[in-house]
Amino acid sequence: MSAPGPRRGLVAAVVLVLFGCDGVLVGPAGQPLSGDPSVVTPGAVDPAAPGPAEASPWGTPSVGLCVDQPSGLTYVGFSGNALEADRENLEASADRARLKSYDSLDEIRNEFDYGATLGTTITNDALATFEAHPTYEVPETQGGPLMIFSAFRYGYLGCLKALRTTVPSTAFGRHVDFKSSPTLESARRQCQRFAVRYWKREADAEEVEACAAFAVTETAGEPTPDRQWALLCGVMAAAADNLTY
Amino acid sequence: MLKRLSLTHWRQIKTLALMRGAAPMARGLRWLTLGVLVALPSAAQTAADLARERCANRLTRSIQGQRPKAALLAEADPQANVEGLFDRVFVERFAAFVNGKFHDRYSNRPEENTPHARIVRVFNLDLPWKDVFIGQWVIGPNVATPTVPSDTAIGYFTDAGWMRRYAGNEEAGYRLSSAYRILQNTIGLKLTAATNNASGENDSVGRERPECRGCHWDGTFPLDKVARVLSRKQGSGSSMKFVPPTDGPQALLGKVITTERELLEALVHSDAFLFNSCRLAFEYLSGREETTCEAPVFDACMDTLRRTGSMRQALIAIARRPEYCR
Repeated sequence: MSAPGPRRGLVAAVVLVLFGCDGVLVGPAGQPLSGDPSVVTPGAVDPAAPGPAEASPWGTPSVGLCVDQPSGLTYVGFSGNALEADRENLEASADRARLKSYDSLDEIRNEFDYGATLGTTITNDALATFEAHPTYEVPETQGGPLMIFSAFRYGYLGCLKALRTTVPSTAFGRHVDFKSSPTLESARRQCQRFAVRYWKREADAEEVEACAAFAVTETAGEPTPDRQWALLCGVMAAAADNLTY
Repeated sequence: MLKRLSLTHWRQIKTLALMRGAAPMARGLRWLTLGVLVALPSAAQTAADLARERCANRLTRSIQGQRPKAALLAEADPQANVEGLFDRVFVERFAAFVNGKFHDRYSNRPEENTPHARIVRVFNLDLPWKDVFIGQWVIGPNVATPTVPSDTAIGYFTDAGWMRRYAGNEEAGYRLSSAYRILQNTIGLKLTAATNNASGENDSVGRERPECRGCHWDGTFPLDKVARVLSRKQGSGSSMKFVPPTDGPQALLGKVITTERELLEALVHSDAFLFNSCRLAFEYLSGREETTCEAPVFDACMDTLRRTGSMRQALIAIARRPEYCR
């Protein structure tokens, strides 16, 4: 009843929405997707360089074929057919990202102690956006623009609150970088920090540069440094690596 | 020494250690604030720590639908103690997941979702997985008596609510809907129903037309023949009742079958049943069916389910494999 799992393209979709719309995401062959064509992410692929045959337009394939197929067992059905014959030829780790449930928004809320200031509005909103599963089935969580926007909004508000707090235990508020607008150097540092915090992994060089470029160019319109950093932090919190597991 | 640290402290230290370019002085000050002195984790340890956190996330969110608890995050190897995640939270979630897979649409009525109740009892009482489908017991009246033995019960397929839900509308009372649902639930058979044939006849004669008989009369799983070993529906609504079959033995599944119990026993004691069960397990844990490269993981599930009869152990066999957290 629930749709089967594969959510290929989710990563690209989320990144596109959260990074790409303002023109800093490098699209196929290193071209900016939109916005100022002069904004090319450092470290991006040289547009003139020939790419590998059948490479993903995003540079890194989202799924990989099973090259060294293991010798699994055969199971015979009632009709004499091999039951395993319909398996997709993919590697073991392919196509594994699953969207978190509404609980992930609740997680962001808890992380930044939303409850004290915004009360239950966030939770109700999150429930409606992410759809808590009913009693008698557990459908796979489906993504959508509202969910992605909600995740970004809560991430942004949470980060802003954290940046403005004076409570020492809160995550981000005390770093010296946040006292001034992002520079490429400080943004690289914080992008890596946000990646570890939200994505549970270190960002690679290309991701750090894309993130830092976003911080410097796309948050410049914000009136204060804390809002600039909150925007970056919110984007990182709402990226695919945090919304999936 | 690390073991004496609270998880919060450890995570703060870990985050600090991961800050590329953070000034050593700042790190030192933060550590002093925490009131502890520990060795700075090496880069390799840090990467391993993050991998463990991702693994704990994947395990807990897949199995329980929740974020990982502090104790699991603190485990050196989250997969080593994965059994602890298969608790009552998991049971409710897994029962709802499988129940959803076994129906054609959602219903809020408990009596129409008896697979859910049976799965909960099978897990809570450590009964064999096949008992969901062929267990000779009915749902008990209360917590103290979760099941009541019954010689006539055949899993949830003889529960009144389920029988009514899938009684169908065949004119002579043959339960074609039940027949298909039994095959779909046990061995994962997928058929697409045609609403009509060229002559517009939906009765047993119409179903013998060439465009219908492939699913209704011929092949290994002929629905009309399956329905002829099931009880037949009489009446409708509140007056609906079921009477024993009268059509005699039927050629099904490559053998001759006379009763519903024989049918279910043949289905459940097959590779196809184990295969479909492991597909369910895989989809629950991974959100998709197994791939070619995951054949050894799937084989581990099949072997465990065959040996132990326990769906819990079959799930654990998948969740424990290195591939699962890779």
